[in-house]
Amino acid sequence: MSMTNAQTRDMNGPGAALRGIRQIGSRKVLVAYLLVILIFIAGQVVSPGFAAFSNIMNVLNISALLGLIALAQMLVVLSGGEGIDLSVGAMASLGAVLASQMLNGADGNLLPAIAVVLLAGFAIGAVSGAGIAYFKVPPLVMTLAMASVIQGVALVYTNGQPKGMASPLLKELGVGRTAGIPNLVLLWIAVAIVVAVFLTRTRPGQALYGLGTNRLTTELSGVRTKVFTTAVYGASGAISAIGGMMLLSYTGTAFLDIGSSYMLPTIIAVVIGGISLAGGLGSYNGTVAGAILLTSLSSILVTLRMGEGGRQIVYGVILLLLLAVYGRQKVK
Amino acid sequence: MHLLRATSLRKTYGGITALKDGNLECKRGKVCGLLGANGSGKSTFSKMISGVVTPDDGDIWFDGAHVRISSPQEAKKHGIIMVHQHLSLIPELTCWENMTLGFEPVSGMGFLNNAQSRELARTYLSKFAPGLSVDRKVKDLSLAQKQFVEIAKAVAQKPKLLILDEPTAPLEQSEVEKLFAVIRELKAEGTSVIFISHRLWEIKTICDHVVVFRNGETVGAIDFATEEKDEDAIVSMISGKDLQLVKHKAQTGGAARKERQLEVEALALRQSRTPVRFELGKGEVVGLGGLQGQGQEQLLLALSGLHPSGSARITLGGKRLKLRHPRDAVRAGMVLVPGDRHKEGLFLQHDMLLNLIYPQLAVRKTGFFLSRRRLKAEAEQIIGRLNIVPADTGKVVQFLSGGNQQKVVVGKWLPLAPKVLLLSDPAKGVDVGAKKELYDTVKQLAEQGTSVLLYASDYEELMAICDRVLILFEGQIVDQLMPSDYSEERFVAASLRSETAADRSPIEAWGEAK
Repeated sequence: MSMTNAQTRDMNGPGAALRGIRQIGSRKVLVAYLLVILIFIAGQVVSPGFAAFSNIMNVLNISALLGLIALAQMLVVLSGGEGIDLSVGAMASLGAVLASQMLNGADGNLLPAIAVVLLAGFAIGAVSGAGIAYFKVPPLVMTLAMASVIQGVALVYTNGQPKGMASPLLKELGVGRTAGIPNLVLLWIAVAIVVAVFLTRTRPGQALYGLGTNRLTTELSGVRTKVFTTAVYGASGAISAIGGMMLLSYTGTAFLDIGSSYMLPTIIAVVIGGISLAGGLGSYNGTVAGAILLTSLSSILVTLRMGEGGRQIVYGVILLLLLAVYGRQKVK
Repeated sequence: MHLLRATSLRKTYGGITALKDGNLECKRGKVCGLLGANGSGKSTFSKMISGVVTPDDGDIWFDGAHVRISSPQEAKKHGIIMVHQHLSLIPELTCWENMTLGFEPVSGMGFLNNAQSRELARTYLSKFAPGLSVDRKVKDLSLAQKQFVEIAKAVAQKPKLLILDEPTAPLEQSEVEKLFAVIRELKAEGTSVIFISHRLWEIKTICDHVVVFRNGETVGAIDFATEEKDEDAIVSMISGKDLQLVKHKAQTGGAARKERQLEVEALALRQSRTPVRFELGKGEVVGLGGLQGQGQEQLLLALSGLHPSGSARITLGGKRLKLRHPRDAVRAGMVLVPGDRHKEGLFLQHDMLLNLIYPQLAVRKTGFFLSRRRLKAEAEQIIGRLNIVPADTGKVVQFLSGGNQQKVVVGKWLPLAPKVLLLSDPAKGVDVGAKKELYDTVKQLAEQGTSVLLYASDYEELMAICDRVLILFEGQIVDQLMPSDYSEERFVAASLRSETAADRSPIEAWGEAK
């Protein structure tokens, strides 16, 4: 009846000092880079040469692979609606075996291979997206199921034994260096710049933040959120698939589960990078930092000559700690 | 003799008084009508009697004894059962399972006696809906059928006092008659009923006496056995004003004829079979009044394109509109300022810039690449025009005051130069100063040719800015008030759809609107 239940917010409250959650995000990125530096210092102490330029480049090279696939994950998480893509690993595998068989070691088919990988990735991703947007299947379930389907497709396509290999040009991208810097890292930098521009300076990029933050407001503003969601999962598929092609460029030959070990790390990289799992907040910088941190961590564990079992345990415990610190969501 | 006597019941929730002084006497074997506007305390009062809410103070005598009712179970033990407005059935269970839930007949060995349960359910449900099988699952029933199951369940427990909270809301005329037949049967068996309804004719038909609540207090009682069934007297009690004065007020004026902007025809709202039909002139501010939840918000949501508008014919600026999606409405220039700004109007965690430019992104009024500088300048212009504080495009919206947040929700539409502004209770939770500024902005927009459709739960807001007000009742437009009619009493009377309001028929109101 009356207007007494005013939800007036204290404008000078503690929140004002933070100027929003974006800053918390950038603080997370800073901490991630500090941890990376600490890891390299510790590595140098234990095993001289760990912090040498060439090893740093090696770590970055592998980080780039994770970082590219994590980009696919990030877009989906950013789009909100409890978005998560558990099929990025399987999709990367599919991209790798597709490219491998099409190229068959020759450069001639490089452009068609890229086109096919992108299209297949987008189409399959869009199927997940449509299931989620139109049929209200929870993203977790939908993408997990699709991961299984994609594995099946790859199996049928290859008859269980992927043939072919990367072409010389693709291999040059994966293992070659320009001025001492791995080509993949240069590509990654270029992608990061494009993504940054896309997210902050283009219409769909900015619209994505709205979609992730509040679907109803977005819908009422005039965005067809279902179409948009479908497109985001499609993009995630295309990027994961092309990420798989990058894996192929690094390893030279493909195997059926070449990408499957990337699924969990992409999620962790995204969380470390300050992307809110609730969607709508964060930037690619953070995911880049997360990918570098995760790769550095696993690299130092290898350097310490820790056995596989021990490595897994330490990796897992450290991840739990990181997630405990980073993964907490601000309660609204 | 009284079955129930409650005196001086009081309840406060953290400083807000829900009920100041609730009093009621309910006779054995009689139907007591409980009346009052939304928020008058009648719901809180009836929840106290049924044990859902414990009073802070006051006394209840039931069946001759002074009682304290601290839970619904205890109320049940005394023989008091309430049928709540929001149904409490379990959708996945059948009618009979729902109806006997909590008091299942038990056979000798301690097992449930399902056959007996089913028979019991059948006996009671058939009084209301003879054809309805008790084996059907509740989720498959219509709203009215669910209501019957709920009431039948209460009746099957043979209460001494049955409290019905707006039981007729989902029912049609013939169904209401069936309910009344059962109520009369109960009366004959000596059961007392407390009947809550907004429909005065129902009250007059079924009740033996009425008690009226206003602002958390019992303000009066009328015993139909000794006093006249005077609708005017009841309405005056509910509104707190003398209706006689109002009724004789001259009806003059009417908004100046204006160019037609929006025409809505054959728009069916949820509860009603009769579709609504109205027009909006260019620059006209039209209010949607009536009790809460009579379809005002659905009307706005349908026009915004979020809810399906069915076979409605909507014409905006001379062009037929097909509303399949909010995008269609936004593109055509019909935009919504929703009722819940946090859930429907804002990106709370983002800055004002994104919030203010978003509709332009959404309907692709910008290029693919965005000029931050241009958009920022535009946002700053909106901030200046609406006097949003602080004037900082980088300010995250959740740290703004409620009034400034609401200005952002209105302001984001300004760059699209909307033709029709749909406002759903925009001043809810907004302080007085910001409210005035908000409505000043709305008026200013109207002067520039934007048509406004405003729903506000507060009559005073409607009276303050509307050129005319359409009164909705159960999904239909039942009356239209012109500024010369404006008074709280007129609103209350029209909202309750009493004869006082009906003496000016809706059909006539239509004629004037045209």
